[in-house]
Amino acid sequence: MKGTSRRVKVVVAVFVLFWAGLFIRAIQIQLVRWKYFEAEARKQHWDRVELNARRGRVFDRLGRALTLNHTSATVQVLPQHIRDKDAGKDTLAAILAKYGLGSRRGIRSKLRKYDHLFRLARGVDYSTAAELKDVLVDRQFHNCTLVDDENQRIYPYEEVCANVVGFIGTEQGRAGIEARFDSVLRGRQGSVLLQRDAVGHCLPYPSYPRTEPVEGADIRLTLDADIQSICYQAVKNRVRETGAVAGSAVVLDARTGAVLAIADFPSYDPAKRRRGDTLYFQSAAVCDEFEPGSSFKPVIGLAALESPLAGRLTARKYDASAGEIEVSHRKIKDAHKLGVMDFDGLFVQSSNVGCVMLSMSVGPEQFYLLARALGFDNRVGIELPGEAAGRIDPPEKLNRLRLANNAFGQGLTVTLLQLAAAYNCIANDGLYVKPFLVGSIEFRGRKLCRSERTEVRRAVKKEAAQRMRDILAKAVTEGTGELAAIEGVSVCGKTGTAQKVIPGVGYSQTASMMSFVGFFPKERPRYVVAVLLDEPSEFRFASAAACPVFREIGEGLLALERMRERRDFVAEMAGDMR
Amino acid sequence: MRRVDLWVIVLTILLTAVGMLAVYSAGGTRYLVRQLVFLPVAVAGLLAAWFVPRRVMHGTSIWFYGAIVLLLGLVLFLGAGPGSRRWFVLGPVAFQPSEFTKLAVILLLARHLAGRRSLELSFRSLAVPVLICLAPAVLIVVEPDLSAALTLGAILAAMLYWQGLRPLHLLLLFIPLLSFAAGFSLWTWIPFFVFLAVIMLVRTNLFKAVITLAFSSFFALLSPLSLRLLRDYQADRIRSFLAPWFDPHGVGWNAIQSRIAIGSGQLFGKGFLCGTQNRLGFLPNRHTDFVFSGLGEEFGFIGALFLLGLLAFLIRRLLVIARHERDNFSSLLCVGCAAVIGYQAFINIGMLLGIMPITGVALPFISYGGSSLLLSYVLVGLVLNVSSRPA
Repeated sequence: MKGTSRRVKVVVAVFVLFWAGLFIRAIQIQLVRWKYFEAEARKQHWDRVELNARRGRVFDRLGRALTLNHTSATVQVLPQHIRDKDAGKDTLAAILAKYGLGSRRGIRSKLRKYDHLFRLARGVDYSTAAELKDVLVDRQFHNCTLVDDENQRIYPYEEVCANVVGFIGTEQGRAGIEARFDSVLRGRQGSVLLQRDAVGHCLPYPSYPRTEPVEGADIRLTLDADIQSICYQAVKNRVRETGAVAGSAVVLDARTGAVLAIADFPSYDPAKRRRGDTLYFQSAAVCDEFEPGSSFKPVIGLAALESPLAGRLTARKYDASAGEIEVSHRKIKDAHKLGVMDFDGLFVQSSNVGCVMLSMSVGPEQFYLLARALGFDNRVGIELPGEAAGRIDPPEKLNRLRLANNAFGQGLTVTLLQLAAAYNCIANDGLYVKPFLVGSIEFRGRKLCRSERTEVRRAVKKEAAQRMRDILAKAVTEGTGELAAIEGVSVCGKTGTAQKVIPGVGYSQTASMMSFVGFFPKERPRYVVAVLLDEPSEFRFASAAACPVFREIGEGLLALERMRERRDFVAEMAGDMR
Repeated sequence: MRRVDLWVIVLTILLTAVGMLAVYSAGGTRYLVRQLVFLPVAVAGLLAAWFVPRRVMHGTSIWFYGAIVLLLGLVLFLGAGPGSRRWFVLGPVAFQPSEFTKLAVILLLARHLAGRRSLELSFRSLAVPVLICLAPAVLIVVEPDLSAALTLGAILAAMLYWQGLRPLHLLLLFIPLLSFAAGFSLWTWIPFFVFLAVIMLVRTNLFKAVITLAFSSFFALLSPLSLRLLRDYQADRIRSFLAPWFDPHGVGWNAIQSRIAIGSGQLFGKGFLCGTQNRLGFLPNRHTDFVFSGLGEEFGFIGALFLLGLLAFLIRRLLVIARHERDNFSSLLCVGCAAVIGYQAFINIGMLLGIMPITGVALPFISYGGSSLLLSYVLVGLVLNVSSRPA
């Protein structure tokens, strides 16, 4: 045959060309791009299942749960992916109905009606869901049915504690303690790597790599759920009665500085949040600043008592019979013409004019330093997100008019918590005790940390504080705070009615912030209570609007104390008899 | 009697062993046992093809061919199979006549071409060989089994070339088929058209070139039209070859799965029986058409190279035998056998590596399946027959 050898060469060349193609391609896939393909392969047969850590719980100081955890499941169906359409839908409906997700007929009609992914059931019991999952895999329905665990957080106290406890949004604390201590509560997520075949069956494997989740730590607050409820109810009722916009109350344990209650109204239900609720996600008592008015007067009083001129200032008489005083060509008025008063009378009668006179003698430095010592113009450091610092102008900015205004609590801002802390300082004989909200953090029964009474500094001399305590007691018995008096216990306290600032306009003639801050019993104070009502429309003065809230809370506190004592006593007796 | 070509026997044994391992890994004991049951049948087929006298082979080829065409006609009416009629089912045994069509076509073509002195592009010269291929090819396409029909085209091309048809004429003979195939996408059509134009202008004159290009364009235009007429799975396969990543869970799924399995095998593979994509069912048809993907995953690049080497060596042996064969009939037989094995291996491995469209072509010696194994063994038997005994 002619040309055979050339022919063979061509055939071999063609053949080599083809084989070279295969060879090069194999190199490309297996030796060059293997990383990509390996990752793809792993994605297909390794299934990483996250193991959720139990989120830490929040308790009140007596161990009552303010949050609970609940695991349930959501069942979603994607009818598109059901094999052999109608027969498959009937079978699936039967399975789902057997697990109590609805009537068989109802589910079937839904499966036929929808084509897209839809949620069939929520809040399915955890163990039921686990069984259902296995059955779905066995019957080949797992591709069209998604059973997801859902970790629910339940807030038994609903809106009463919402301002403090907060809530969790998508997997993360969004407000309050839940947000601030998210990393503590969250714990650490674990995971399991499962090997699955193409159909989705989990393969038996001697030991799947598994990282156990670590549950979150529990937080025990100093809050007392009962006191919190008392305060919330009292504030809520009074806000309604007075036509106020909002109201807050803070209760501190005067002996330790522990926060027993921070109540804000309006509040929100953490489980069912609505659109407008964002306004209330932060506690108003901690995060909102306001001009306090007369409840700030003890500060100028203490400044006078601390000043070198204390002797002269306390001894002299103050003539406010004109009802007004002129400072830098501006007139400052009293609510009524109060006549001639002694030092105590300035606070008992709550005379603006008298306090202005006092401030002129004390001077800005003394005033500012004392205000700072009492914790104003500085964050208290409470364990809640978004705390406000308040604002007082430094002495170099305090001209005569500003100082005069500041003396009776206008032209500066504070938070309700700051006011409570400052009064707590008076109740503690001049020692500033730092308020705290988190009592302890516990992990697996072990306390990780614990808060205690912290004396930050001596703000004023013991004598000055005791003198001010006497004056504040008199303000309740004889002065503006009469309605705050509680039967059977001596109360110290001061009212405050401040004109509200309308941004861009100035002081409002009608809207005011009404507060009452006090503590009791006078001799050995146990509770500091601060109450604030925002724009009550029914009353002109705090004496009428805010004092009754204070009294209601105070009476509630005492009743609760008595009840607990009795219970403890009975329990003790029972223990003795046994 | 001349010396038996030991290399062919050794390579056959090695390839069969690799095939058994791969089938066991992909299909488990069940398929391995079945394949082992097929093996004696295949060996018997090999021995029969080896020891049948050349004269008898030569004489009966036309009857064998006739019987096969008859069976191909019958299978259209009596056959069974998923979505197509390819199989005769006789109790536990299923039998695929299209496999043996390859054998019949090789035998008859060899017998017909052996008598020809020279071949040229003319009706008289090529009508009979083309008809020998076309008649069963049409029946197979109707089944439908496009890929088996194309194998017949490969046999025809190889044997015509071997017998002396000029490459240009071979190209012109296959222009309808090539144009049609290239016409599915502009990406293949434009290079093909340019290639054709250059060849024609260089080797012939302008007039012939224009005629040829017009002829080619006509067939190329048929392919987009036929895409609508093709069965869905065939159109999908062509589309999935053109853009396999476009629809990862649809038609391209098979192509991607194959590449993931092979690619994740890397250099040394994941180890025998440890290929996750293979063992966990991510590979489709993993013991039949996709058996090479499982091998590539479990034995890696080394394993793939070994298998490619075995196949290349076997084909080289067949070509060497074909070249040294004095007798024209024997020589053509060997080339036909080499063409079947080479073409099927290239198409199968090429599709699993993603350089060929996914078609249902089995890998000779390796893929699970009795008909395929039997055919491979009979082809080897034929080669042993012509190589070990003088005409």
